[in-house]
Amino acid sequence: MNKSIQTPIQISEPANATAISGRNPANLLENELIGRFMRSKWYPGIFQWPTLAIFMLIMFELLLGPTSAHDNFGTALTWVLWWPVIPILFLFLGRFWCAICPFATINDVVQKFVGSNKPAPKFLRKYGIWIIDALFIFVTWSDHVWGVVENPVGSGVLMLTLTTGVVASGAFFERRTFCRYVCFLGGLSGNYARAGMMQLRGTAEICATCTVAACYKGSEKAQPCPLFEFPKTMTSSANCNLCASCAKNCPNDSIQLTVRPPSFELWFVRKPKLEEAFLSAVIMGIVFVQNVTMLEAWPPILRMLEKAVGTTNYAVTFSLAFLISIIIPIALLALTSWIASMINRESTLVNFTRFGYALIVLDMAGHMAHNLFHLLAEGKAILFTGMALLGQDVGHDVSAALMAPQTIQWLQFLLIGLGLAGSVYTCYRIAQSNYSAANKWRTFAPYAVLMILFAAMNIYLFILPMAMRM
Amino acid sequence: MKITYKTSIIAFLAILIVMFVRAEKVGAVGSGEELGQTITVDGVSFTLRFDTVVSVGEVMATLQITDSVGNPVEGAVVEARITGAELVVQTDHTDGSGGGHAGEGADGHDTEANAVHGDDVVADDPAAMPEMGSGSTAEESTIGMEEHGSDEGEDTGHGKSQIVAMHPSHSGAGYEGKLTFVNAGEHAIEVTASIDGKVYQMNFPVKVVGARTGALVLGSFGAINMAIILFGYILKKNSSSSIAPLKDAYHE
Repeated sequence: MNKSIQTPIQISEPANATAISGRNPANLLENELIGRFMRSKWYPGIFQWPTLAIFMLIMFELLLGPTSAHDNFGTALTWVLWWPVIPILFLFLGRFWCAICPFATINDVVQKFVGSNKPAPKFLRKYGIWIIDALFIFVTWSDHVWGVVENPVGSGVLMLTLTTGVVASGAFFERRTFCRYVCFLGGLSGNYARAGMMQLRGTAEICATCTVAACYKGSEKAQPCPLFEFPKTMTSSANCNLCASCAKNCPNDSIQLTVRPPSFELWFVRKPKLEEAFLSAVIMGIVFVQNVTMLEAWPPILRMLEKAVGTTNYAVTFSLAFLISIIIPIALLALTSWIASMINRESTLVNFTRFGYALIVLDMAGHMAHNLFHLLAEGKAILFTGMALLGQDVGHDVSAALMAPQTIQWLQFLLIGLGLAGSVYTCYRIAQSNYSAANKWRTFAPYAVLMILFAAMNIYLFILPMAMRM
Repeated sequence: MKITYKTSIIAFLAILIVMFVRAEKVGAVGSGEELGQTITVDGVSFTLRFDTVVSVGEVMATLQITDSVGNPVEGAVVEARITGAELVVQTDHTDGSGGGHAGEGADGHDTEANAVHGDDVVADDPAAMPEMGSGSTAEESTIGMEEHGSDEGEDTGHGKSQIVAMHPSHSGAGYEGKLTFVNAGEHAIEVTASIDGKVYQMNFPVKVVGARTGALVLGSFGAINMAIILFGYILKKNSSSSIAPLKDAYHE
């Protein structure tokens, strides 16, 4: 069920950020330093191999290091450093992480030596995002029920499961099938990359006369696009990891890498898809559940749920809380879409699908704000556990905080404020692109209220005291 | 059933999920289960939770105490200590005279508890045992009650067990304390709570995950990955590689 909706009004989608800035954005690949570096054989390998080495160290620590998360360097690097930093990377560099991700490197290595390079199965191509949606929900659920983050071995199992996935994908399928169609992190990064500031596209006039398509097929210069993208027809950065293979392969220098305003792509989604809008709402629910379960108020909530369902089994009570948290944003988005459908005379589903993308900016802000707490309140844990790895014990009573809680809280509010502004403006642009002047504001209004409500819910959760991860 | 691409990929994903679930369970033995073991004595419910998987090392434990109407009990003096596996085994002991028998807690765990009455009774004092459970109700009949008091037995094979004071948590979630497990396996946490002069004692069984779990998990996944790579190698030898046609770029 790959539903994309047809727009009633012709969208004039700008090919790049020109329409916004009023001038041609600079093609970063024309900068001698950047262009030469990205087209060189060293890129992206110079980042890939160190990342893989660090990944190996993390795996070693998670599986064979200290059993307490508090003391584990792998846990600190993964959940205190990497997980909070990654949405920031998505904002500034789009899906660049996927180019240097150790799992992708493992995929490539296995593929190089034993890969059969079968085409990606059709059903994965068709239902890939739904599979990603389901896996993302499942992994988040299992994190809470079995303790992935708090348990180094649990984190190691998650990494090994992903490793097994990419090994199988590399051994049997072409390119990075797993990353494109199965990886839940890929799905998350793809969604966030839409709101990211990097845009890689082919130059329409040059590509129109091209008969080689080396960007897609590959050449002796470089591998084909690992994520099955064709720059000539690309309208989204969701599946571009900026690996620059296309730039290396293109004989006509057609590829452009430009900087665009955050959330720019969301204003002009030509073929919105239900599963992508759904994922945006799911991520909002997951941000809620991550916040709620780390609150000091979580145990009383848990007790209330235990009384309601008549069992103290955590799997049952958490599943209920999880379900409620996921359903809230989906239901609120559906309700708002139903209201909007009364105004613009389009179906609720069309409205849900179209405006669901506006949530991405607030998702990103919520994700960053939540993890900012872990990064700044527990940041020194990286140093402490690293020192412990080298035999230096700093003790358990030293604060791991990099900033005062009050400062962190203000930064969280600031992020949510920026996210709200981005989401509201995205709603406005979507309404402007799709509806007549009369319906534009009336369609925009309920979604603006929804975004304010989500932001208020996030801010309320950040006001409450939160427990540490380490 | 015909084996197609679709079925083989679905089967693979299913295997991956099963592996993840199974491995997670190995890595988190009892974490979900231990969260929320409840023992009720004289209408007072004691629920022990851990903030994470119970593994060798430090683990934060929270004891929630509620009265017969479900209100949190405040002002209790709570202590906990880790005892040996031997005590857990004793939960199967049935003692009709005590009004209780070995049974299961709310989550299906074997649990044991003592209600010790009197201000002057110390938790481990065997003299207190005859009074134990005198106020037992039908609700409490699922609680194992027994005598124990010698430290020698409790510490067998587990070294010296340290008594940890559990203090009221800032969030009001109950009483918190950090327990340190020195080795893996079956343990019991003996909790003693003094409420308005009445001393309650109970044992919560826990399974503690050892450091070797990681090596086992690593070995298992390593073997599976090697098998996949070997299979891929055989497949590659028997077929020529192909690159998807350009039209696939438009598959969306």
